[in-house]
Amino acid sequence: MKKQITLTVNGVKRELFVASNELLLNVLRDHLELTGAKYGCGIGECGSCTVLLDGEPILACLTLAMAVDGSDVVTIEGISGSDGRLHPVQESFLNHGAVQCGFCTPGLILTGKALLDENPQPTEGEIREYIRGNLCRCTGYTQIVKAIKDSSVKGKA
Amino acid sequence: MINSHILSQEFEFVEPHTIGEAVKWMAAYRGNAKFMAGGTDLLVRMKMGRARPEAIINLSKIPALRYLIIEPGLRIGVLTTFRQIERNGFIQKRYTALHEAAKAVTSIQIKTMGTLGGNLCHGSPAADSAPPLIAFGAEVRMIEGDKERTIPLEAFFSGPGQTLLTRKELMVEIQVPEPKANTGSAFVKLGRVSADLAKVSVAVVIEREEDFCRDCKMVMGSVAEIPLRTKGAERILMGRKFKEDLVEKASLQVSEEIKPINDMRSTAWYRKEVSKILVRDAINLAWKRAV
Repeated sequence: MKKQITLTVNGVKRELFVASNELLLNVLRDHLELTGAKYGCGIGECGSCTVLLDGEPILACLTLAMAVDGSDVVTIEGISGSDGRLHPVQESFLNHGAVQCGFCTPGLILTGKALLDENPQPTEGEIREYIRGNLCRCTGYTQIVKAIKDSSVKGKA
Repeated sequence: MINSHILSQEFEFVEPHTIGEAVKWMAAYRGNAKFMAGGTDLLVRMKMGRARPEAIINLSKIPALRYLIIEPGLRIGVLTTFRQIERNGFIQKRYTALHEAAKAVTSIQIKTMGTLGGNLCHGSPAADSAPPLIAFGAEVRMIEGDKERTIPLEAFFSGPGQTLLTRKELMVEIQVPEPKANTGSAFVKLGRVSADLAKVSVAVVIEREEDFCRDCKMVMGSVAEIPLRTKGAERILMGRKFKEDLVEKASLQVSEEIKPINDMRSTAWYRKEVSKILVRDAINLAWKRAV
């Protein structure tokens, strides 16, 4: 069973033909060649497939493409400015060296962005609680938490 | 061969806009379809080969299942997400244990996607929403064809991954009575890390009258085949003057009453030991809040 769906991905409207068993992550990675969102565990434990669906962080590996017909999706490829300038959270990850292998990074940056969108001045505790579903197996979180904190309004002041 | 990166089989996909259409679709598939709410449990089960539905009936386009009404008491449409529960100030104040359970769900992504209805219907003894809802005396309303029934949530679970829902039945609403004045509650969960399922969880609801515990409900998660009400421990506190040694006695009683298993998350022995501490903490928290 195939069906046409419309997704707005990183601000661009896309019409796609998808099968019933296609996941949003398959569509992003295989149809649209947006490979920022990663396939980690596939069962909702690691957060590396996190994308923003209508502004909220969700797991693209547990989302049927057909079920999100008409939605707005933002991936890591879509948060930098149109002039190519990095998003403040991306910039801050670079400044803090909050990346080692990089596999968790897109998910962590998007989750960090979602947090700052709803709470521009989170405490360290709030940051750690919000990103607890995004696993990083190399850098040990310290730099990641600092990077998110530094890119918050408070961090800049 | 299991590959969690794909859903290996195609299926039919339908999106009803009303409850009536949804149950008609289920009848048309003779119960061989699955209702999908947030999808976070169903799609994992399908990836693991534990569910092979002929069709998925996506509920997310049914506005009549997405509401949270405070009236007194709560009426919760099954599509209400953990995130919505967590962010509701009234629930945090009056149904603190339910707020804490929503907060304790593994991750922000699962809280955003996962629904209360899906959590209950999955039938897991580790379902975070079950202990507080049972402790608050919740009932669930279910529909099949033109028949409808409402049953206490306490009676809803029948085994690991099993509930009283028939294959064609749809849960539509969770009803929670208004807690009496001077009621306090708490939910305490222990996982290996905070982004994990529970090794043990407990919800306690206490109604206080000055120094006396007038009423007490205590429900444990991940310690038996179903979310378990520990009535023996409740009776130790009920109608008595609240004292430290009674709390101690109740927590020891709980570890006698539960029937935990060894599994990948913990051992039965550890669950019994640590339950004493969790129960003690939850009782003391609920008592302090009951003012």
